[in-house]
Amino acid sequence: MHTFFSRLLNFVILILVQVFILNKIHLFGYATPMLYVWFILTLEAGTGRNKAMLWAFVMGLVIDIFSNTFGIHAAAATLLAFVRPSLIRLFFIRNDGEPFIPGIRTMGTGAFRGYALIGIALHHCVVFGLEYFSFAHLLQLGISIAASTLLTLLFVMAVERITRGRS
Amino acid sequence: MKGLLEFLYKHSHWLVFFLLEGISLFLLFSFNDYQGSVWLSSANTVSGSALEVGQRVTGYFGLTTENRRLAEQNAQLEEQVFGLRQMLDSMALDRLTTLTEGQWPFDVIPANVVENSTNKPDNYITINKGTLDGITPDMGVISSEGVVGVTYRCSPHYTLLLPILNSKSNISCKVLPGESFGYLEWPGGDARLAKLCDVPRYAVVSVGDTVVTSGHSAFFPEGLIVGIVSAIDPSADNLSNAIDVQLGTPFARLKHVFVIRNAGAEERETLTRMLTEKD
Repeated sequence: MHTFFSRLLNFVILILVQVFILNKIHLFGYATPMLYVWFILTLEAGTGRNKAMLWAFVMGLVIDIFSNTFGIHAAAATLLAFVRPSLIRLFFIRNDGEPFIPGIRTMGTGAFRGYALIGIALHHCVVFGLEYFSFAHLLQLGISIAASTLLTLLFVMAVERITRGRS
Repeated sequence: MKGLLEFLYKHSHWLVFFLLEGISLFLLFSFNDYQGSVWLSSANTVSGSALEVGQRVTGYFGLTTENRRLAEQNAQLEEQVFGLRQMLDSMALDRLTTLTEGQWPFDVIPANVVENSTNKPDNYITINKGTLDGITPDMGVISSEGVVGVTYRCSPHYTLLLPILNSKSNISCKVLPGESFGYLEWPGGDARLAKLCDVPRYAVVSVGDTVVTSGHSAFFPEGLIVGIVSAIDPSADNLSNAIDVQLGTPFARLKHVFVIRNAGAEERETLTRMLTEKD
């Protein structure tokens, strides 16, 4: 129960930060950080896929409602939650099989960075792909995805380091 | 049977995945077809009021420039009132004509921007007035510096606008001295630039000309400023010119807008409704 409420608190805080602050950032006109994916990335590794997808879907939907994107973030977040277990396995295998929270401390900086980068890139491809929904502006689309991915990764790594880096 | 259930349970994440993705994509692609989907946008009561609180907080930033701008606008309006009063006085003799020219059929509802974006391929703006304030879909919206867009979806307290910066926006305009018509489109990218399409090639247009609303639609009265011509290039088919328009409205820092209610349009609507009810 305790983890549920702390998770809910994280959920609400990340949505507020995303909607009121980060959504207003358009660095060079292309890059918008989507820090809220940090919530999905750092759900406990043992969390069932269905449960993780539901959390991600609801989070994406709330972001959608606030930023008038009608399901784009819900789709992207659900996909991220779906592929998450495979991504974690790709970068990190825990020998004892104990559940853990993906992060710098548990996985190591390099492995977490790789995991976060692939996850964020995938999520952003869906977000911008659905937003543009055409290949007419391929260059613009590519720059947006790349720039936003890097910016989000920067935010995720910074927040991860501040909140959980040291013990 | 047991095997099937076990199989389904083992692969339930695929079902849930496709279900949730299906819902998301359904929301995305059905938004334009249902009036009711306004409840899933920032124009619903909960997100609208939350965003309004946020706007009230951030609204304090840049208050100095906002005040200066309002003062400037005030001075301009003052000047206009003075000029108009003088004109009215000079026309006192033929007052009859000015009276019969009739009432201005448009009235204006001021509103504040609650949520706004400029960086997406399709942007929307949410304002803090809705059906309870007399706003309905398809009303023109302007700012003190130019045309903003058209109302799109309304909830009781909030309204979603389709600004010029949306690919669905399509406003009929004309370029002033020559009165050549075209429609305004936004190709995406820069929030300060739009394109005036379908202007005939023989039309005399030069850089710096003013672009205003044409008055062809019931949304906008004629002659509201849209922007200024910044470049002219022939369109791909070589039959018409595409004109780059520097938009007057500063979308990135838009705070106050005015919704234009066309009393004439309402009258027309009630008339048609009366006629259809009779049948």
